[in-house]
Amino acid sequence: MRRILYAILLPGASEHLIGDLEEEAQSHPPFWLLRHVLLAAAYQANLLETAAATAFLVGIPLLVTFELRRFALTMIPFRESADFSNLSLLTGALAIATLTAWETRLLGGRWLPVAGATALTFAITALTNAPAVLTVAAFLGGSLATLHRRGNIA
Amino acid sequence: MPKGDALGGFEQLILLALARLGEEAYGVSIRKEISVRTGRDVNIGAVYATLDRLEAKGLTSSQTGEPTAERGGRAKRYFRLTGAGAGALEESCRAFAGMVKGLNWGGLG
Repeated sequence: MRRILYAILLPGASEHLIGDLEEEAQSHPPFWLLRHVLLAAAYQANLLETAAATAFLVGIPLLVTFELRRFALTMIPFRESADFSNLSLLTGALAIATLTAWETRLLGGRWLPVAGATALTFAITALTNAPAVLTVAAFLGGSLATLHRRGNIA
Repeated sequence: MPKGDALGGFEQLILLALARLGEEAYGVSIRKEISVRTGRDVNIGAVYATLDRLEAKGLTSSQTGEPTAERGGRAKRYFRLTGAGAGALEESCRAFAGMVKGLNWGGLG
């Protein structure tokens, strides 16, 4: 559970910082640890970077998604559920954007591959009407694979 | 130390903790040393942000230790004062002591 907390709130944090928090966790209650992890995230500027990445990455893909969807609805007459809701799409888009910002941080601020993957994800979502949750799950899988590769999770 | 590079209050506390802890100065021990002696619940993120700044100024240096089980197999990063750091700390403490000397605490406020 703590590993997930570190991975979500302190992506890309140094090994010694996570090790220190892990050591402190042995002698402090969970709330103390949560508070210190949140504060450490703020000091590491992860939250700020995540907010900036989200603002950058969510804007254009979201607009593109809605335009692609509108285009798809007019061009593909045999779609099974052309009446999927905007709210569902928006929720999926926000979830993907959050994960995107997170992964951008994980990859050390390398925007291009993450932005490309995000655009592709949005395009697939809009054109195929795939359930957003599946797309998010696929993206989450990729993020977990990245974390595993970096040794943040076992 | 060049003008404008005066130590901040928290930087001073961190350097004092390093001076006290010697070879055993790493994130947790530094945080605890300051918390116990000042009564402030210091955050480890603040400690590392300051240590990184001090290292960039050449006032501290660091080296990685061995991984331990209680830390989930992660290594410690040990910090120590450099010669410049010790000098800056001494200068800062002298200035502080000079300002405090002879102060009439009863007449304040």
